[in-house]
Amino acid sequence: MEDTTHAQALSELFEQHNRTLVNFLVARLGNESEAKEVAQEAYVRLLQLHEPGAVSFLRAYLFRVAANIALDRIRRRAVSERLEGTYADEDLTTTLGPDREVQATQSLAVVRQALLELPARHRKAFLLQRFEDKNTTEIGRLLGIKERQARYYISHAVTYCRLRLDGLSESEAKAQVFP
Amino acid sequence: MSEANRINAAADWLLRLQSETASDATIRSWVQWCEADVRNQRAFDQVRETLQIADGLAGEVENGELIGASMEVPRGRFERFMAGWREAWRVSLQYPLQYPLSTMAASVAALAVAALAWVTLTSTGHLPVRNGAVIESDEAVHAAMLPDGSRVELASKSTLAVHYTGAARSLDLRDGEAYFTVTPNKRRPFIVTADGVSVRAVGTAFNVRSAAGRVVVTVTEGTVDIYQQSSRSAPAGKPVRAGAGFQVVWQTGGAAPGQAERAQAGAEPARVSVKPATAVGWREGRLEYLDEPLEAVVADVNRYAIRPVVIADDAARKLRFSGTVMVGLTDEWLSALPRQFPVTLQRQNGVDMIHSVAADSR
Repeated sequence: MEDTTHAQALSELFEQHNRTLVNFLVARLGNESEAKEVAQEAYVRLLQLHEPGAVSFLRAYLFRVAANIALDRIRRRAVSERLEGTYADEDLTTTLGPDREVQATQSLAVVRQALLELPARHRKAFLLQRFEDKNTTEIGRLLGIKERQARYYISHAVTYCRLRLDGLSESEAKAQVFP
Repeated sequence: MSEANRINAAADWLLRLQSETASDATIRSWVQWCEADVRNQRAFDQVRETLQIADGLAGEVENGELIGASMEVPRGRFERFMAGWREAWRVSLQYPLQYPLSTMAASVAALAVAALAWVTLTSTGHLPVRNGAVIESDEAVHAAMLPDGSRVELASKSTLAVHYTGAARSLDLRDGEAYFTVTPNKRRPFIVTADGVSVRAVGTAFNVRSAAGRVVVTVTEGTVDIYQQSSRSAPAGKPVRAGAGFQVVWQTGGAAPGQAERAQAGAEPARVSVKPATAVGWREGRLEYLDEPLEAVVADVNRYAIRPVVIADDAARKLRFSGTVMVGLTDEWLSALPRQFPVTLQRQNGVDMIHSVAADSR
């Protein structure tokens, strides 16, 4: 009896938060299909709980369990890369059909152009974070700024690129991001 | 909240969540933010999409700066030229018969101009492709320059998708055969995946052929690691290392069930010493085989033949072929088959069927 209510509470919890959970895991793992798998795995682990608690506890627990599974996977990836020289599935980009090739090329050109229009420090913070595996603390140190400031630089750079992709002109986008 | 602010908040969340040390309190407020407004979730998706597009720059970043950023070319013109050129190439590759002659002539002319211009730029004749691109070759061999300067020659009717990220140069050979010459970069391995089998190289040259549930990797320079792709639950298999002059044959089972070699799917790969020139003969119009299942040979031939060739029964699939098929003479090769093997040929509805004699008499 208690089992069914637990399962029901969980399935409601899952329905309500699944998208948030998957987004959270995508941020961690950088890969949507893996994020969905981990979300599923976290759900299964919660189902196996013998003494389920209140819903508010369950929600926090769901995210904690999912974060731990994700962390395990990231470490496993790192270990297998080091020891065996193997690489986990790289599935960061969605597959584009050939007819979208030109469109993708144009989008990439817009982003490249947008980055060049940004102040050098914003561009640098973004590129270091995205392409050279630096975290925001390290970037702060490299640029002589606080961690929080480094984070602002990066998120501003991303926002600026997005607005330029959405068709805003250089001056319009700058007015929005750097008012 | 303005759209820009929302996107900015989403980008900030993404950064905070990436950190391993995100606390329960952070996660709690993330859940609140994410579920407070459906526009917040949309903004988050837009940020992810933007980053995916930006990942295409992976080959162009060094020390936190875009390579060549300081010596900007008159961009608009160059970009337009490249886009137009790529379009012409794509059209002529994919729809040679569906376009009216005038369009064809225009693309051929565009191609000729582009080719001439390009020779002065690369001097190797390899056409540049961007990250995210899917290259499909039609009748002829196509040479392409990948975003990191590595080169690929794609055999007839083959498809290759380019997915470069900051961590790896990933390529997906969906169909057919390709020869890769890899620009060395230890920090960013070059990984070609075909039918669930991955070939990982740092700086080397190798050939990958994927057909009929077999993936054949031939190394002509350097060393590569070959391994079965990690499935959803299982991690990647133990890699097989192969150096120059070696060929590794992997039975993957392939898409078509009930095939002769299906039972061996997932078996240990076979590694043999070969003359690399044999495996890459296709680049000069020769398909060379040593003790190859007829099924795999026919899969190759189908990429060059005018009419599709189909093997009708398992007995014929299991036959082993050694010899050379000339790319322009696949019809001749086919009509000579009954002299070499106990098979008969039958043409039905524009398809050439190969039947084994044994199966006929049954």
